[in-house]
Amino acid sequence: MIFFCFSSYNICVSFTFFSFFMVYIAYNSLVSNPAATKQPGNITIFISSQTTVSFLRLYHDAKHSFTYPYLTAIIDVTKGNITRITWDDACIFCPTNRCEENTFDFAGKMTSENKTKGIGPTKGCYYTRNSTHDECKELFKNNRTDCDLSIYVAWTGTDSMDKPLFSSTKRYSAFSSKSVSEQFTDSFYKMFGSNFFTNFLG
Amino acid sequence: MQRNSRYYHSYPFLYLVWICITNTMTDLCTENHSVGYNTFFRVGVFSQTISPITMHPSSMKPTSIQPTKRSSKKPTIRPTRHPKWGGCVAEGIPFSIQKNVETLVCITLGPLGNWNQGANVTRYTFIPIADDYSKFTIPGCTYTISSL
Repeated sequence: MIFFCFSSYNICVSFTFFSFFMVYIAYNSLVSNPAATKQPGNITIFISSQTTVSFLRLYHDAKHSFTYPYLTAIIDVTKGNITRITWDDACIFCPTNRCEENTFDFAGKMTSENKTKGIGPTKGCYYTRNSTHDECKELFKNNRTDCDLSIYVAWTGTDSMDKPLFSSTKRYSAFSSKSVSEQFTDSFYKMFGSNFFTNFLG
Repeated sequence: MQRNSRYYHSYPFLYLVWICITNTMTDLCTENHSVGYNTFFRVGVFSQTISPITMHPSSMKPTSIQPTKRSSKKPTIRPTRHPKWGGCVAEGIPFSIQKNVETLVCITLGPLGNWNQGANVTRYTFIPIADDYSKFTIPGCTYTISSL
């Protein structure tokens, strides 16, 4: 279940999704206590299945103290064989000023949709910290797990029996905040009339 | 808030599209809403140093060993300290993806840099149901998420 919050309307909407795989790896154990995972400094991540690998996504940028916690991998399957694994647009989780390129190849070079054909979306949104303020620790203190590494895996294409795999159609980016907002508004206009927001929300 | 709650309970469809309208949005956004999960995973975690490799996404193929002719020359043995990357495969797990059948997915954490020179990595392997909704929590996490 996820929540979309529209600050302009003071409204939260939750949608129940299916066909997602989620993994949570605690921010504290990776960034605050890197010795536990033997990954001091920058932390990158890639997904693999069968003999196919994705590009690297940066989870923690030690130089800039950025943490990119949201990742969605899309496994493209043709008749049961994985043809590629791409990353989905992770910038739907944040405003545009927090959206940065964070996809790399295995030579350590940053790559993007312009540089590599078929790579898919390459940007993600980050939390940051400076000498006086650590956004992740603030969230952590408030029992928020936003900075924990969260990975969603969805499949697309056809399985070995030629059955279609639908889970990628239910990924987050398929419900961009704008389209969700529009659908939400439209449905309420239909049910309550155009004055709903004016009357109800004041 | 009282007035809003009355609207909320009046419409059954809101169980699917749950709407909270409040002057203190933050409070509701951080409420705990549990989600039922029925799928369980076997998980393996290990750290390793992988040998110099060349990884190109979407072009990885299974490694095959070609037989070589015997030579009179003394063979040159190159000791390899680290295992080669052999993909994300496991015995007992079908290689081919089949809907609603277990499949293997690996998540690998490593450094940023040139992996061709070797890299210390931590790999999590798990077995979700292909195309199914499921949740996985790394053991030992400070928090486990029961809602999102």
